[in-house]
Amino acid sequence: MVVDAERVLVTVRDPGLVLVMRPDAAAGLVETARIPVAADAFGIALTPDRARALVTSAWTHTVSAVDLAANKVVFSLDVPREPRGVVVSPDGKRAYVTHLTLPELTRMDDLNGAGRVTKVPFAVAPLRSREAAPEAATLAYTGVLSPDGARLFVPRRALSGDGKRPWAGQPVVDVLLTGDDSSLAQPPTGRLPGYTTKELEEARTFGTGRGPFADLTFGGGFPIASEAFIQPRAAVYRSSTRTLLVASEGTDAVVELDALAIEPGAHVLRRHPLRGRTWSPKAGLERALVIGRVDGSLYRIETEDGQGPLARDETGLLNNASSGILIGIERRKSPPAEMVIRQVMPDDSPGETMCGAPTGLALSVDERTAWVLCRTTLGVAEISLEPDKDLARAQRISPRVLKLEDDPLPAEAALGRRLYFNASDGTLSGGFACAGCHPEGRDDGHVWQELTDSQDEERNDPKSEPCATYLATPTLPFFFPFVGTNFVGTPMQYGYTRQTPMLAGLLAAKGPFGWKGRSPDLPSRVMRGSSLHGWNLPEQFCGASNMKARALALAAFARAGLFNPPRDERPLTAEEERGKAVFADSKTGCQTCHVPATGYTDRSVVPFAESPLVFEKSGPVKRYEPEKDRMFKTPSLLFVGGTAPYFHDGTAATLEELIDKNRDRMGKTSHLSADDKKALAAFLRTL
Amino acid sequence: MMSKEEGLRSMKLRARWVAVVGALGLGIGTAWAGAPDVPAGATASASGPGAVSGSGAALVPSAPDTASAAAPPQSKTPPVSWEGAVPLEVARPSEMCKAVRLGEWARVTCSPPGFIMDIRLMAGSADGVLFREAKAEGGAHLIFPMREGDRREICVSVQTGSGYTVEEDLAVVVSEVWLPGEPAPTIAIAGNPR
Repeated sequence: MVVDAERVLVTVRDPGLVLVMRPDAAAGLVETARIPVAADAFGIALTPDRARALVTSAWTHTVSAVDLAANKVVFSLDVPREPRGVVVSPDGKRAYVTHLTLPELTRMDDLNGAGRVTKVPFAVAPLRSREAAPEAATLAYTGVLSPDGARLFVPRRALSGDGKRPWAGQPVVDVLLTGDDSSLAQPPTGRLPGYTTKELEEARTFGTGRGPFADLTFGGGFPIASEAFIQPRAAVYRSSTRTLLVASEGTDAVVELDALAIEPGAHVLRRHPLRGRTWSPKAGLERALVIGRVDGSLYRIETEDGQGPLARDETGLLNNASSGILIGIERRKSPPAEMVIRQVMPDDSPGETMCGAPTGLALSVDERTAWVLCRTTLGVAEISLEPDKDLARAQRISPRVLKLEDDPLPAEAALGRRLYFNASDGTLSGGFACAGCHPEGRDDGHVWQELTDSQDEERNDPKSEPCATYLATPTLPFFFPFVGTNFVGTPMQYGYTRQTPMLAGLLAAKGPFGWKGRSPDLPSRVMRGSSLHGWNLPEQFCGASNMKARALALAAFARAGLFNPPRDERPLTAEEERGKAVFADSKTGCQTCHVPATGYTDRSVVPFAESPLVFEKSGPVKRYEPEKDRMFKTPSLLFVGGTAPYFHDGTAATLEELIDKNRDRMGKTSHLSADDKKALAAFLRTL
Repeated sequence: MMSKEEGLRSMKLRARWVAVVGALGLGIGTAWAGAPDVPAGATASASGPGAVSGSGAALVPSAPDTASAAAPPQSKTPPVSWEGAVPLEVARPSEMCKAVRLGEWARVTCSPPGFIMDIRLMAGSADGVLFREAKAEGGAHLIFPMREGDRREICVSVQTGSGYTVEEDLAVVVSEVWLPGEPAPTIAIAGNPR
């Protein structure tokens, strides 16, 4: 949505529209125009002269320019997958588009003419990425330009970043210098000096003093910052302070970051919690030092005689306690405070928050107030950006929230929606929400290495699909956090490859679910799948007694609340009709398993030979384990055109490649002519 | 029982300490040996714009220190003495650090709570960069030249963890950016960015 003095412009996803409205004192907002654009319209930005609007359409991978005087599209350009955020430079000459599933940006030039797009490589967390997969990025919903247009800030998730939760990387704000489209962050050059013998002796005396310091970087390890945010969803630039406000979908918070820094994500200036006060220290707590293993961080909690305002760090504790294994604290008198730390079970108030899944951000003109759209609680929260010392206690602890409407979902599904985006539910998420890998119920386009525990070897038992753990690895190189990457050149085979599956529109069947079809129903799959989100022992997730209610809620939301990607309702073209015939032909046998009447799957589990592409694409070193069990559940082909790459291991980049190199492992396609293969791919894109 | 994550972290730390010892061993006899400790007077002078009073990070940034831009490069090596150092304008200061400059050279003295586990140059040129113990302040001096074109970042990590675990957490991040055409470097410091 964009607003200027006379208009409010809103994108509508299905059907793809730009709604133009004018404010009216009596009637509120009055629609003045309805401009069709490509389906799944998402981001919008105005040119400086306000004559044109640029609109991204995510599923249809299109950017359109709309003439706001004529209320019509003047050009539409095809761009890579999932374009989302769009910004226009202050001089109106260029625009940049972020992609939800890709590391690169799209630059648009000639905005006042016919438009032109260029792919702009954009390093992902270049100072903190593992060598193995430096291009792995996700969740770039938005981008923000500095007022002078010199810097473009892109909050996103660096899956290759060395973070607190290694399997899911590190949240970052990458900065592009628009003058030459280079990353502000550049890896170090040169070597730092070493030590004298005397200094070495001091340094080796561990624990007795700091000794001399030198650059201790080795092999690829990094100082690990706590996660400033999880699942960045929206951002605004605050000019008066030269800071960035970033909405953290997974932790129900807004963080304020330093826009002057090379790595704004590592320069957290302030946290604005939106969850509200859900935990309080024991009465009498005056000053306490808490060293916790909630997420490996150290927290300091200060109160004034147990009654006074809680320091920001307390709310930080709440908002960072994403493992859900909360710290119980007791204190003993007088500093230095000595704490007794114990682990307690997660509280069982799932989804409790005042502002769930912050999704939109807006600043007041004086930049002293921010408003936050709370997606899962259907409200708007107001945050005062005044210094803490000028705020009343209540303002520091809880935001003001305006409820917009009653939840149209049934209670169970509404709870499921809150949980789906919540990265802090200890039982369910382990630090990264469902929405982290399945944004909006879609796939993130990445392939992961599935690390399995010993139980996984017992795969012959259909009832014992294991709790597994996944590591991000979009290009299939091996990396193992903390150990493997620190020793470059020691490849190991570890884990199986699994592409993130799309969920929306594909969960209607009763079952079975899972790659191997071992979960008889969806709640069972949720319970199994929740173990993918953390490093805890399997029984902590799979066997958690409070897991079932969450799984039922999530399953209810996944079926009732996830929106299918829009379909292009039109007659098939001649080529698509030809592809449909090829698909239905008994010689190819596609629909033997991909049955049209049941969502293009029969949900059967069938043998599937290993792809020759594995060997072509993984290089000389095979970095993962061969599949011991090559039985896979037949996947649905619905929406398959928008979920590249393909196969469970992501080895086919396009549908054409999938068909061309199928080698008769799925049906028979070797006999097809080039035109038939092309037609088949065209038909698949219509599903 | 350690969780899987704890186990991995423990493995990492063991590996890291082994590597630290190795890195130290490789450093014998190289340059910058014997740089003297910082004169107390220089530290005491760091009460100007680079120092912060009160709590919390400053949200309104200071103007860049154009005076440093006027000074031409003086030396390829850092100053031996910091006598005469003046406060360095830090756009985004932190209460954990104080900053002074001597000509083109900056010295940021950081005293994060806890045991400093390591200091790393994360971005930018290593030329002239020096990390020294700041005994009087119970911290470390981060010394670097400020030259046009700089995109430097230095991270200071402290030891954390409890019980049976030892971990490393980022405590201070110093960012120095001087893009071509800008009148002066912009220095931003994040203290305890957790």
